[in-house]
Amino acid sequence: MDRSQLLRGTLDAAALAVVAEQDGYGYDVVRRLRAAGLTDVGDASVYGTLRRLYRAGALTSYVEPSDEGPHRRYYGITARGRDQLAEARTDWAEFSQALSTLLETDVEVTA
Amino acid sequence: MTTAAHVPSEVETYLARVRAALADVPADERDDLLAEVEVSLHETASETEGSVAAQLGPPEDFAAELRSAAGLHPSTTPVAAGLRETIDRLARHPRVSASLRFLRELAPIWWALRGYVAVAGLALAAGASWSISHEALPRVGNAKLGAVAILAAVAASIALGLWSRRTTQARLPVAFLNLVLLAAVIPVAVHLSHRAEPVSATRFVVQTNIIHGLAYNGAPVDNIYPYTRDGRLLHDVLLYSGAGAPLNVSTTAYDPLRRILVTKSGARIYNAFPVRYFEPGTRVVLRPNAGPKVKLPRIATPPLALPAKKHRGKAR
Repeated sequence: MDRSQLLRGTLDAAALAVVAEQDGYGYDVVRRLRAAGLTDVGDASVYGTLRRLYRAGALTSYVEPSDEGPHRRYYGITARGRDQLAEARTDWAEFSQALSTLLETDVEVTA
Repeated sequence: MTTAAHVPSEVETYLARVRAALADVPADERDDLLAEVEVSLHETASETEGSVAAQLGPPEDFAAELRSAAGLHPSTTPVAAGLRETIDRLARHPRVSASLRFLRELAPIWWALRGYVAVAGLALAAGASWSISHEALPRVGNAKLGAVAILAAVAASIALGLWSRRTTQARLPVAFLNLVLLAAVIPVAVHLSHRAEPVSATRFVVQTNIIHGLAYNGAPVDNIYPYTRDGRLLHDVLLYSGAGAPLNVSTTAYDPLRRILVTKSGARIYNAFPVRYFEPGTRVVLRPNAGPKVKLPRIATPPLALPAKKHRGKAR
């Protein structure tokens, strides 16, 4: 299965989770997502997602000067973002449990 | 990570192509996205051995992914996108951007002006009366309140200007407001230019160019045709003013065709009427009795009784 397809629907939650853990700038979030195992995540997808979440009020942002290269825009999670993340957690738990059950019982068909 | 003091040209090129692919995205949103991308490109370039494009894919695909993840609608028409790109490229031209910066510095003048225009324009639209002593002041109830309204509007406009510089949300409504007030400048300016000439004051015009010689109702008179009461044209009549001055009609330039009477001592006479002109090349006046087309009145008053002479005329 194309993992990028799977990512598409879950990137919001993944990005929120990473930022909730610690504020981060775009590339930093990409790195942490990859380190967490989402190796296929695309840079552009993450930046776009962060911007969209920021516009929706789930993230705040602030600029930190950098000695190396351009200033970095850090993102932090807002109360709204936390609500959204909590909701995503519940949804994912239910969804993944349902899917796990389904796939485990059907293991011979997929193999 | 190595220090990237200078921007690698590959990053610049990549960034420019992403920017071009996002030409239709509103400028501030795109700038924020690209600022993000730029940081990433630097770090990618410094962390990887190969080219940025090899790592991130073609810039157009990168832009498409960015756009879709950010939930930005794809370009509506290629023409609009091209236009926006052209405008953006123009705005980045050093001379244009210098002018834009200059205009930006002048913007507070416009903020103050548009505050006044807003009040004056509304006053015009509402048909309010205007102060007579201070012509630029509309009466909002009275002139003093008008002045207060203008000061308040100017202050509010400057506050709006400062605020709209800090935020991008208000861009569209502020642009619309500017457009409306810019259009309102015209009727307000026309109104003010009319008021600059006071309507109630009487103008006294002092005529400085005095007509030399004879004049009638301000127009020069170059000839006089005297008729007797029974309609005969008189010739060589000498006219004098009440102060005894000859009523001379003369031009500064000598006119060889004019028949000028001369005294026995050779002095020229310029107050003899009607003035007659010779036929060119001769000393002959062709039609000595020629005169203007006048309808001579029939006179009822008896002729003036003269003491010395006997008079033949009959009273009618």
